[in-house]
Amino acid sequence: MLNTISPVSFSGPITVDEKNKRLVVDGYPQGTKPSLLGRHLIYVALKKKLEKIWLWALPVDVPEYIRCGFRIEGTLFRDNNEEFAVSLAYYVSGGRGHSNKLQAENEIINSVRTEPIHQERSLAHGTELKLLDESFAQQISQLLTKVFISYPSPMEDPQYIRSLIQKGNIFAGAISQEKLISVAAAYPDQNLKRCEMTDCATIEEYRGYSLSERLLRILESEVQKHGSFNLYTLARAQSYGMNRVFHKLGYRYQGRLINNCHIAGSYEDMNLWVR
Amino acid sequence: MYNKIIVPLDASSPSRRAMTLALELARKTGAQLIVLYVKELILLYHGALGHGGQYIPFNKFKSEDILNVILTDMEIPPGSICKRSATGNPATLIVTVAADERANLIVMGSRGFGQLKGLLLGSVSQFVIKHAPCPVLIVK
Repeated sequence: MLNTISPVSFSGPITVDEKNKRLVVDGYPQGTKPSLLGRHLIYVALKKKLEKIWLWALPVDVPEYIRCGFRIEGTLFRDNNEEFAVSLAYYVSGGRGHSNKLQAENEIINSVRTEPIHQERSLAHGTELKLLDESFAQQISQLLTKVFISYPSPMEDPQYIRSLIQKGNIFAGAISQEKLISVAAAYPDQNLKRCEMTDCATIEEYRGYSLSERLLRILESEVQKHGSFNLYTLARAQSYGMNRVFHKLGYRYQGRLINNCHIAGSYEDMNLWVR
Repeated sequence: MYNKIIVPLDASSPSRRAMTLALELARKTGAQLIVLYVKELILLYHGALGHGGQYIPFNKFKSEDILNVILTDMEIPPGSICKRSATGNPATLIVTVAADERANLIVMGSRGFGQLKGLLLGSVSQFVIKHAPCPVLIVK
């Protein structure tokens, strides 16, 4: 009799994300038949009353997933086009798969890519940019919950932020008069050699000084000390500022994930940018 | 000398040679032999979901069939040997199963198929050598 054990090395490739009412599939066992997995995922999503399946697939498997009702939303790849991964979606709830903001979001993408880049304003006097350690967890949490009414991950919990830092994720922040006024983070993944640039937020009265852009540059140089990483981000499709920042930093727009997560009070489309 | 030997097995030539050597060692020492088959997970993405995530197992694949085919191909009766299978990262799972089984020795091929192809000493072997709770015998 075969004695089978569950995966212990990965945090599970199929995850129920109740907070965002979606099933997230980061991968699957080698040799999996896409039509079988697709049907299994749809069954699980229906049973768990989830609205979206977010599945990362190998390009070779994409046609079979499309036959199951999935659709392509974005792509991730390295410069040499190796390690190509495709972001697919299946909408259990029809409403979740429909975005009425697509035209406005397309216009944002067009303008961030075509408007001339001007020299950035100088940093306000007394503003310090630096990497943040665990002692800033409370302030990071306060800043993110002040800027966003809702957030896809539990950033309202300082302990969660501490655990992120302990696991090797990197936070950078702008400090003015001993107060955290802007934050950004990098989540390097040593297995995939990929790094998500995320958690960008600036208190409203301090916007316009390219703080996110400056913090992301600091994070990028810090990440590069740990190896060569494929950088990417999911930026709110309705945010001109964040999409503009990633375009300026040399990221390429690679698709839009419809109503992907609950952020700032509602489900929002997220633009995928890759470098 | 050895009570329990773990052999991570796949269809690659070094792995089959490791199995042959392990069988011989087990016969000479009276050790119990456990064959481990690891179904590798292809991870394409890793996003932070917080602590609310709930893992869903996916068991619609038959590791036992694959393992039996390899053993039969090596003219080893599948029913005559103790088998274990796992899904995930081969490197960490080999170490985990060796510790779980309180193995005295791991015998494994220098490299397998998949992502390790082309390397003289695969990254799986390197990881196991570094982290194993017991001696490791690498077969070329």
